[in-house]
Amino acid sequence: MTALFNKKQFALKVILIITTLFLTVSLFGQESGCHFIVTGKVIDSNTLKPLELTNIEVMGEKGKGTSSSSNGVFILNNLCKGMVELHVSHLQCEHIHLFFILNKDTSIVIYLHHSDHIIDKVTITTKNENQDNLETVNIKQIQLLKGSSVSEMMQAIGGITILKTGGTISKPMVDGLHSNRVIILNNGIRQEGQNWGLEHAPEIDAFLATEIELLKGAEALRYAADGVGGVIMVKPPSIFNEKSNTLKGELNLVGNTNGRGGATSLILGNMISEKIPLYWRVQGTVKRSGNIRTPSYFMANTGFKEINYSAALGYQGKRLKVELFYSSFYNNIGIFKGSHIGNIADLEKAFKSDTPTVQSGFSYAIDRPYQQVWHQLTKANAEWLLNSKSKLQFVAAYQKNHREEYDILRSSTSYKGPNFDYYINTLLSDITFIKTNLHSFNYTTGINATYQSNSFTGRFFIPGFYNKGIGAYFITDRRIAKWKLEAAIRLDYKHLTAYLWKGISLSVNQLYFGNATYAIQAAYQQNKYLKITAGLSSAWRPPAPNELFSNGLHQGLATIEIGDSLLKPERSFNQFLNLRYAHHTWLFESELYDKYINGFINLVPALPAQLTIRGAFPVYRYVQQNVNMVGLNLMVKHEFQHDIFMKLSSNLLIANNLDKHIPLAQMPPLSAKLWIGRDNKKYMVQFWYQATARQFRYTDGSDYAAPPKGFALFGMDASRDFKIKKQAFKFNISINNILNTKYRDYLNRFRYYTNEPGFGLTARLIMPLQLNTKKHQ
Amino acid sequence: MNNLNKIHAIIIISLLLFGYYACKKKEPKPGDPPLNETELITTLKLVFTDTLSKQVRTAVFYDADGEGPVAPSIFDTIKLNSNKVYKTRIYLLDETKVPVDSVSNVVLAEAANHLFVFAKTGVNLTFTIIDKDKNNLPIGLNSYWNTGATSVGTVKVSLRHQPGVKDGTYAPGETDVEVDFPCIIK
Repeated sequence: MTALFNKKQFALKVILIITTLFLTVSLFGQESGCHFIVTGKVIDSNTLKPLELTNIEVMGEKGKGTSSSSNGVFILNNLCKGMVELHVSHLQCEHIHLFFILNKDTSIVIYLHHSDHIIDKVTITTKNENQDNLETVNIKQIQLLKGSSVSEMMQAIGGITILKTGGTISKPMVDGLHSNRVIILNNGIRQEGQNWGLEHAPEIDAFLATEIELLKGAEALRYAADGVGGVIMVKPPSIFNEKSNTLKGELNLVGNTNGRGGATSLILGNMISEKIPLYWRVQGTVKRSGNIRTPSYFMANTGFKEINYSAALGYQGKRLKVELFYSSFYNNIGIFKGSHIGNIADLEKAFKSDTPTVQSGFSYAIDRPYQQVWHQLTKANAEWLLNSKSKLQFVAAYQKNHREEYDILRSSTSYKGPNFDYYINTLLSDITFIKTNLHSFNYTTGINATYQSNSFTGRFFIPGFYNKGIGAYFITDRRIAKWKLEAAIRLDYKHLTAYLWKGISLSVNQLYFGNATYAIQAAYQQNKYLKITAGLSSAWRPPAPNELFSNGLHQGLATIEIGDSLLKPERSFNQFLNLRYAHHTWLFESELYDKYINGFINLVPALPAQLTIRGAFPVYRYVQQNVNMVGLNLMVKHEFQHDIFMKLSSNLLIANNLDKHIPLAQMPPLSAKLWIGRDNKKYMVQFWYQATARQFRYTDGSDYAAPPKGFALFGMDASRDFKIKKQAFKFNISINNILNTKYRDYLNRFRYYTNEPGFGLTARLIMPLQLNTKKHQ
Repeated sequence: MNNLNKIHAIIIISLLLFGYYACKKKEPKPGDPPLNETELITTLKLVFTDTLSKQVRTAVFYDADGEGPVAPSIFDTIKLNSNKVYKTRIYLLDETKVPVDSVSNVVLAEAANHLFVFAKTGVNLTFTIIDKDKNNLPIGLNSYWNTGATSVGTVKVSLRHQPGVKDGTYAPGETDVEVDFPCIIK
């Protein structure tokens, strides 16, 4: 539901409402050994008074433990670096387990729901802010990416690459899969736009994200069956972290040189009062940028603007927690003019030329062709605590997505409205029951229902349709000694009604799909340092409306895309092995995966070319094939003395069409990124080097042009915290493509027409706001 | 009291948001017939008039969905007599509109942004464009086609859309129409 409810890595054994971690002074030079100190305070969350005589025990270390003093304070000395498990118990409470990763002296505040014996089983993973892993983008990484799109932020996750359309439109690709196969959860709600389109970016305000996480395997089944690639969660901060008597917030100012763009984002929130547990928060973002510059020229018409806002209201009673949320996302993105071509001959001419056929200088103006999207989300969710071990959650959400695309006008008398005008409305509702048993099976079970409508005016690409779906799932996990076992099953049923017009006659297509998805996985925590997780899963995905019914010219690519209404659902069989080793100064994580997809729906070239009044266009048809994808995502980090660190990450993917024994097209090539930097309490500076190989796994003649050459880029980030009077600031800068290298990216659909952006410097000022609203103070 | 005011303010703001949301422009329903106001070129018609005998011939390319995925239903071969001079007129039509919309009138009205280009392979034929735009550059709606000896080949008729970049050559801009007619001179 929110970041608070993330139960990814640790069991549901923690009985606290809010735990906050404050990272304090680092012990320089003391890399190894057991010198760390954890200080803490135990507070009764109801009375907000310190709770004495709470026993705190360090698991796995006999005799290491203490109890809280009369003011609730406890101190644990000589703790070792790495994973720490604390066992916290109080006479009138059940015991709790608190997990976190220690690499600095740490102080924690534990709010125990004690006096009335209502125990909230919210898990706080107290993930160390500095701890890197393959599956998440943490707040620290996000701070160095503010002003970027949400897809660019996701790229920090192992295995995620981005599929671009020019310099400003991008969408995530997880282990080579994207669009219909990747589910994005925005604030707990499945994002529903025209997400089938390669040039349709997720409509999410990146400034609202404080953490991004990629879910694969068992727990991803709670949200959807068709996330064959994975489920990406974009999480805003929890509204229930707001405090009374202080108006808290954050102001972000971002400016960048390439595009001469800027962004401002403000978030403000408060708890109404101690007596009324009502929380509110408002947030808004404005972004603007002009034409992007490649090393040698400006790309015509690549500016954009974005205006977003959101409001949230929360109520937290003893047993009931309710949240209302509304967000509006609006953007207007210019499409690179040099990509607008009449026919295949124009396209061939465009990619034979080194500079685009349309020249430009700098401008903020957004001219045709452009796209304009308005996405609204309204959601209400409630959580009802039934007893100390079980709770019910309800979610209802309504999304409205209106996408308009404007082509170049053929003449001044042409129709000025949108040439492509699509409306998609989605109603989602969920009921979930969560049961936590301390020493037995935990389980989560629930039902999701979806009702969606799609309609359009203008150019036909996909038909109007109604899509109804219902899904039920059961997820369970259990810890047995060093093992954590998880299993999940999900059943879905979908009904699609599509309206196809031919002239004035209408044919209504009714399609029904139903099937099961399952996942099992086991994690073995050998010791504090080594964890091995292995899993098996199988997912299915019914064909999407674009795959079934699309029939038209794809303007930007000069291809005619034809769907097939007889497509069957595709089914994937996945297996993965994840190994994580975190020992003092070393951190290593690798994920090896294999996906076999039966009936993979793929858009492939088909002969002959289609003759039209604009010349002959190549035809692409949706067909089903058996494919296999094997990959390895890797991350290694080492901390040297004096807070110097080095990090390496790499993605490798080998994807094959098993029917034709040829490589799958449009798959990310091998890439690696190396960071070297220093991160101490006062500042952080890091230099990076990113190398991407040419995609040599390519079938000759399957594309207009062979994949572009490999490339290497340099960049850097630096950040520093400072204070002026009492106001704290975080200031950081990032430089991309320092050497102004000229290159083209295989995963950019505009690689035929233009080079990638050149040198760009981004500066960000993050200003946490805290206003005391108590009058007598 | 102060707290109550805050709550009121929040409720009013939320109501306003929901209200705004509810009163947006009318949108179509999924089963509604498609409303496509965007223009289409369905027909390219060439009318050849023998300058001596005044005999008229035509060649038509008709594609009901324009640049869409359905194949053209009429695709004529240009048949001309050898050693003649034909005055050739080009008509572009959108036959999906009622009444039929003449796109060639738009081309004429915005002649400074458009250029027809003729390219032959294998046929003995020369083209002379006779109409000019305001910048004295060729348009191509009207031309003379001089036929030579008996031959077989193709004639490609292209309409280039060149707003602000027209220089009388093929290169600038993009293609609006491109039909490669088979051609017989006998």
